[in-house]
Amino acid sequence: MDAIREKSKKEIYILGIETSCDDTCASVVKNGSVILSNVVSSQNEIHRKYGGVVPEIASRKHIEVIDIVINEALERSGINFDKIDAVSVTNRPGLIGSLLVGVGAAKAISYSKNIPLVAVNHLKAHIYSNILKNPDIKGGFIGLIVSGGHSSLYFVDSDWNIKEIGHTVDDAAGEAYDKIARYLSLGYPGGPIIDRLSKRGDPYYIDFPKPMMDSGDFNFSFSGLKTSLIYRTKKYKKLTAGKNIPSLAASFQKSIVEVLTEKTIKAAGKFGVKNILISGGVAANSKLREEFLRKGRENNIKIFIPPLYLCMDNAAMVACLGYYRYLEGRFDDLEVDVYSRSDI
Amino acid sequence: MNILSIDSSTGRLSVAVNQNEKLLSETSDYNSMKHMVNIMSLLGQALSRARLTIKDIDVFGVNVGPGDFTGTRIGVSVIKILSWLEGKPAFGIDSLDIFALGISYRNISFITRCLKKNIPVLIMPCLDVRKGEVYFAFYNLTSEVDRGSKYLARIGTGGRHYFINKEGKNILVRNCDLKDLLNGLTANGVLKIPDCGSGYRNPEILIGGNCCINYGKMLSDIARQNKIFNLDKKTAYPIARHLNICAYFNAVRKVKAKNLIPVYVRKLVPFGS
Repeated sequence: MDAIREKSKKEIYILGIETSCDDTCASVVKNGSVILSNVVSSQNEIHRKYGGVVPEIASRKHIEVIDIVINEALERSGINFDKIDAVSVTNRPGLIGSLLVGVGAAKAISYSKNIPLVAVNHLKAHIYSNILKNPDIKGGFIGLIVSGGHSSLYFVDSDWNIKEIGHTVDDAAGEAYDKIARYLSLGYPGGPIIDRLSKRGDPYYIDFPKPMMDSGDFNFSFSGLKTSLIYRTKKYKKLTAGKNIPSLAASFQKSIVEVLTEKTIKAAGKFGVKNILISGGVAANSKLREEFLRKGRENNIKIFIPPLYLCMDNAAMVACLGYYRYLEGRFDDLEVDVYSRSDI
Repeated sequence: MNILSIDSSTGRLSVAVNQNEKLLSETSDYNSMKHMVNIMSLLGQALSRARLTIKDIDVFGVNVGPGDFTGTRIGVSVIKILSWLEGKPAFGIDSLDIFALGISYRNISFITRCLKKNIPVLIMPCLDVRKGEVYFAFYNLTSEVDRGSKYLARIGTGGRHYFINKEGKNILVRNCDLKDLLNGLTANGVLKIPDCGSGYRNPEILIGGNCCINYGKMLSDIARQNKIFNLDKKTAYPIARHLNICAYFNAVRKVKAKNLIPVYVRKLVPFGS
């Protein structure tokens, strides 16, 4: 990939489309690193009362706004379709009903404008959210994707081959945040709320378990932690008294953050790399960011974390990945399908 | 006027291209799990068989349901974007309208005979919309319409034409209540359409639509016991060329194209909340 970057001299504009879950996103990115527009139509307000994403609702909302979002991305970028070189769209993994809307739109764009279509993996796109802001990153790093739907570790070698080395065996980290927030009636999405409350709390209030910390592999597990909190708060009701909630949240968060940071740093040691790229919605968590930067300094490892707006699902990362696929000439035909799961 | 329509709302995916009311080409596939895979190649084939390109299309149409949610959205997403990029209007056509047209075309001889004898003919497309419910509406046929009338389409043969007009609203009912409802609406040989002032004495009512698949026996029993009703079992799938006809007449009547959104029969209640 480093060699491919050298070759390209022409300015390349990629339209990215992302509809894998509940955010309808479109973005125009120049040369894989200049974000000309980044539009996100969030459905948080709609799913809030259900405490989580309702797939059918998500799909209905995507179809209502897909053309508006894409149009907005183009208008804000100041680039019209004549200059767009390719359209890049997430086709896996995700909610099928949601993915179909974005991929259908992308196919129509590719057909009408006679431009190549690139179908990308959502998780791989998250890794590229760091490359958007740091295009000189070389292969040979550990990638951690941590979000509401995923908690996975990857080793990316010097040739940019990506291999999964660990994943959650049950809940994703963001999912655990959402479930605990719902259990404690704190609201949705749980991550930002628990993060905010934790700042006023004592992280040593409860010594929660650190699941799979010594498992000897790079997998994660968060549902046991969630169960532990629920069990303890049912047994000791004072733990959920209003004044104790920030400390309860801080203790819970400390456990999650420690497991994520320590296992990721260990992975970097095992694979002999000095760069770690963090991405996904939970990468917006202030404690996670702080701990990774601290542990990175201690271990002489460089930590890359995107700005907050690139941690959430977005189409700029999709366009960035699409740019590198475009340079390689790796396009997809218009018969590409969508998949709820996939390896990277 | 060249029209291209997609129907992806059932297990049968189809794309049709018309020039006005004349069909130029139609492609289809019956693998419902592969609509996303097949949709663009069927569209490309339909255009090339019609010897047209996407730039030659003046009007787009798409079946907006009710039907399969996922399938419908595939067609709506593609047509929404194509019509926007090509700068041409797109009409979202209700499934019931498409079935009404299909039933009418298949029974044009019967319809013509009845209307010549001044026997009113009503079309009743009836859809299985799951959860034990069916969804239907009534359409009548007239040989003339008033200026500005919102007729659905015009069909005809041998120099004689009829306009299809929707009467009243769409009706959602439990399948076990359908028979009593229909008998009630046709008491004493007079069809009284709800929410509508219309009444028809001794009509012939043609039932069709995908209800014929899952509720065929129930509908056969209704038709056998109440001679006003006639069942056409061979109209279980919507046909894309009929979509084109509906879109064509929308364009002719200069109907304003609206934002394409699928039709849902019920309000969504997640988790039974």
